[in-house]
Amino acid sequence: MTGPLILRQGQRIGRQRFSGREAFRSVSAYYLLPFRFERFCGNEVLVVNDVGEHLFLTASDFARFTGHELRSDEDVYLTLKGKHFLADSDSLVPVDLLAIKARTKRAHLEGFTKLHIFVVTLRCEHTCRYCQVSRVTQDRKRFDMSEAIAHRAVEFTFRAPAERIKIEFQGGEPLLHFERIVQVVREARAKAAATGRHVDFVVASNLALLSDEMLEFFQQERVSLSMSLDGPAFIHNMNRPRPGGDSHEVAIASLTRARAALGADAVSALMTTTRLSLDHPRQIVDEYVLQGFHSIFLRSLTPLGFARRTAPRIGYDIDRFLRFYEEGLDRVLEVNRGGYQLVEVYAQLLLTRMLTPYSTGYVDLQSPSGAGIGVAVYNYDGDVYASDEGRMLAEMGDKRFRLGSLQADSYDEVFGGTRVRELVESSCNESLPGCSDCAFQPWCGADPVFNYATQGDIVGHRPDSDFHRKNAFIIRHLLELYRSDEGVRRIFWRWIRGNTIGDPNAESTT
Amino acid sequence: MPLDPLPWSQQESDTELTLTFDLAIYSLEAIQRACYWLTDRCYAHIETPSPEQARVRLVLKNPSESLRDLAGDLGNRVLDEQLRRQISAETQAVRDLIVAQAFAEADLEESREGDYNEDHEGIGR
Amino acid sequence: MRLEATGTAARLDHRVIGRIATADSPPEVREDAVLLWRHEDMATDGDTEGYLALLTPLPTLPTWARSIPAVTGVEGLEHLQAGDVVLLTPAGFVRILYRRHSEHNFLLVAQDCNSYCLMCSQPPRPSDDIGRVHEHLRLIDLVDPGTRELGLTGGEPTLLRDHFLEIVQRCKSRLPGTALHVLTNGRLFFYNKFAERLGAIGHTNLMLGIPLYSDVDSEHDYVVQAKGAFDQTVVGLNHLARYGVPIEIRVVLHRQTYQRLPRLAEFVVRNFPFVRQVVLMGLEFTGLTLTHPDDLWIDPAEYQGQLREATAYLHAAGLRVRIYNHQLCVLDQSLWQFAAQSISDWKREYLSCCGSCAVRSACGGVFATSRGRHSEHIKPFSGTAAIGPALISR
Repeated sequence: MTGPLILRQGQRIGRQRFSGREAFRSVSAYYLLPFRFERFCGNEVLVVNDVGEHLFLTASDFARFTGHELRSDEDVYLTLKGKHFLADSDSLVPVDLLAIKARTKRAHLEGFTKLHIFVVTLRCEHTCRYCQVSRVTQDRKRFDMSEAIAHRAVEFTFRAPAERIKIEFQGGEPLLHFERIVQVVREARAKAAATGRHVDFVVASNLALLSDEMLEFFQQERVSLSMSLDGPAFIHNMNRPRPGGDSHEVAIASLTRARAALGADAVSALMTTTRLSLDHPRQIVDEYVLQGFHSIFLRSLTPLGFARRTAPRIGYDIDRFLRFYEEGLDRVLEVNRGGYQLVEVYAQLLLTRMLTPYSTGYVDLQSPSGAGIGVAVYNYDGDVYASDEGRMLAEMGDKRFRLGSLQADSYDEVFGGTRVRELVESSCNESLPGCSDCAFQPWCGADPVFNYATQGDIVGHRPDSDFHRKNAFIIRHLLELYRSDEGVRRIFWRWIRGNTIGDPNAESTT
Repeated sequence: MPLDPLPWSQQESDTELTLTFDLAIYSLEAIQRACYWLTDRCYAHIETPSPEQARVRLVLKNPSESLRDLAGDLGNRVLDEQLRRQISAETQAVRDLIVAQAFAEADLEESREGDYNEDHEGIGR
Repeated sequence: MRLEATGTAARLDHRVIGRIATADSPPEVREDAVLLWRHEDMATDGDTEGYLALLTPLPTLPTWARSIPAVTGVEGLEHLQAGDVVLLTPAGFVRILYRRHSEHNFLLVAQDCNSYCLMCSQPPRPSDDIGRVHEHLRLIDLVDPGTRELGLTGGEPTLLRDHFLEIVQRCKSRLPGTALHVLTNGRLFFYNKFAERLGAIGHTNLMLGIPLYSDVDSEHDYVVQAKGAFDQTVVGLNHLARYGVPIEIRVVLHRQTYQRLPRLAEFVVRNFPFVRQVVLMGLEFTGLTLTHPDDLWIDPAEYQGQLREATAYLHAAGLRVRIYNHQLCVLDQSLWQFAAQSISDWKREYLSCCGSCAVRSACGGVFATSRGRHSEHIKPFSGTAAIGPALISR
């Protein structure tokens, strides 16, 4: 190539020599960068690299790609190179970029435990059929968290170095022990201010007992509410019996009052899917729209707590749930097309993991699982658990996931002990049987507590695992939807970027 | 109604079949991994009657399922697992490098710490 | 609009950079000023005490003006105003370096470059760039601190190395409220220290516009005609991000870059999610493009598919996108919201058919420098045409 020539506009310009493309291509053969694959029908192969970037190849391109037969001037070669599936020089830049992306994908690990669940009481005045909390009825005060235990729990909470901490109050019905909520909020705010951190609060409640005093406190302290809404009245009331049988009516009335006092964005809703729910996905979605919610979480039921005992009546198999999910998601998309903003939360989480360089804070879709490290549960009696479900198992007599005691153990003994380490070691899906080769591995997660509860060990057996089958189905479905339609792509991207449910990195597991 | 087996499998009964794999072509690991994925549909047992051969016996859990499909799925799955092993072996070194770099504090190449005035890489020509 | 002219110099033995001022300016203004004397000033019996030099379109000077350095007979610069900054040379050459009332001011701080882009609009040439640094610093001192934006361009500004840092530092000190937009290939930021030092200056209103022409190294290297450029730029981008330097990715669209544009968009989203915006630019038909036009020229109407796909994806992923140098009639209407009036006022023009166009005032026009090479699809919108969503000006 010749050096630069002197040029002046308006004067005669000499012929320039530019080098052709061949001069800039690598002469070396290409080598593979780490990836996994899965065959799709229609003679296609999905390839996914270690940081979750993906591409669909024809079976023949895939065979030539893995057989090192692609030519460096082919379009598919260039695309595989740009997406970091192959490299062809001794440049370390692909390694560098992949390392940076690997760190970004694990950014949720920074700060350690971000979600702290305070089970302030086991008392509850509802008798929900699927209740996993095994609540006791209202008048047994010994199932309340004491002041001392709450204080210690706040101390433990702020031992985590996270810049942004979320405290979630659960029960039973946490409003039955409102004074404890007040104490924790005040102490946590002080602790946060003293250590230069940020803390958010949410109360998971049926809202039936919401008083004006409580609303005033929540408004002052910017506490959010998460209520249960299983669907229209006939589903909600059937699922959640209450003396008076008017659970839905009460919930909506409270919702209205709560929104008026705290603002519409301060109240979100969660549903639980029972066998009854399964026949009515569209009505459930429509109910959420009717009540003015902008996010819905179509989630399945873990067979724990009361749910396990009543499973024959309310339980269902995973295939039925997946049909429900598909129809529900379809209705959600329809609603969006009609101009109403509604996010399906599980899809949003998966899509964020699939289409962006970022991670999410949802503990069941992380590797290692967030149980015990991303989330901690402080029970009313001072015991610390790795997750919601771990605590529920304990109520049934199995303390497998009890990490320790606030009263008896130090922070390091609880969060650095063998229980936590064992959980982490057995939930890195890069090395779990079945997961380690799965194309969806970078997008999926692990749920050791679920594995233990349903299959008897924390590692789990993949082919029989409902966790696996659920995610494999939903991921495939989302991929097909995304590919099929530009309108759907736009909706999905709005969900990924949208703020309708707040910071996804602070997402609760319930 | 007799099931129509695939040519390289041997039907033992309505629910049971045997496949033999040449270990010069199919690795034991690939066979094991492929069997793992079918254990929701069948019981699997693997033997090596000789150093050159692996014999897989499969028994359907659900008798109404097709033995032919099972045999076909296993055969294809073994091939894919074989490919996965190959890809994994080929990419192991660079994967280790990426993980090491992801955890490292320092820059990947010393040249990046060089003096931009001296410009040893000749970037500024 | 012209920015240069040549006249006759007298008593000018070195290069002078000064602010344009009128007669009767106070002394503190005069010491940095070039007196502009026009026909309408003829009746004034002024004095030249304290001015650096005098500049006039008139062929001769009045007697009271014959003792200071001067350039006479300068034609074509009627638009000069007080506050503008000019360079005068002993050869009688006059260049307007800065226009106070323009949105498009830039400092050309380097003639040399370490790349050689196929479509370079400012072809590199060896020059005493280092020797001119003091002039750029001087210019910065004379720029009105109320200026909204200043560009830094070349050639390749970073080839000045520590002097580049010095220029940025001077802008921070003298023009803290002025957005500084640097056009650079970013390659020298391969050296971490260079990026660190730029970040350490702490300029709060800085943006580096860095071109990336493909998701693949060989394609990018081909466009910039430098092997290794892609790798260096990519490493540079990550170093700059480490130190919080704001970055804009620029892509010039032509025959060699349009095809992989959607793949490039994905590459940016996955690998450089921290960039502030992506700018997709139409080709200016000048400079090195003229030496092989058929390799580069493509009617923008032909790549609207790729442009739409890339823009939609970037926008959906939350990255700010801007489309420069495209006429509204050539752009898909869905892309109008991203189009900016980007062509500098002094090189912008419209075709004769544009006179009747309903959206002319919102359209960026064509490059005057493109010598008539533009899309075949330029046509006016009638008055009743539905005008798309709000158009933005740069």
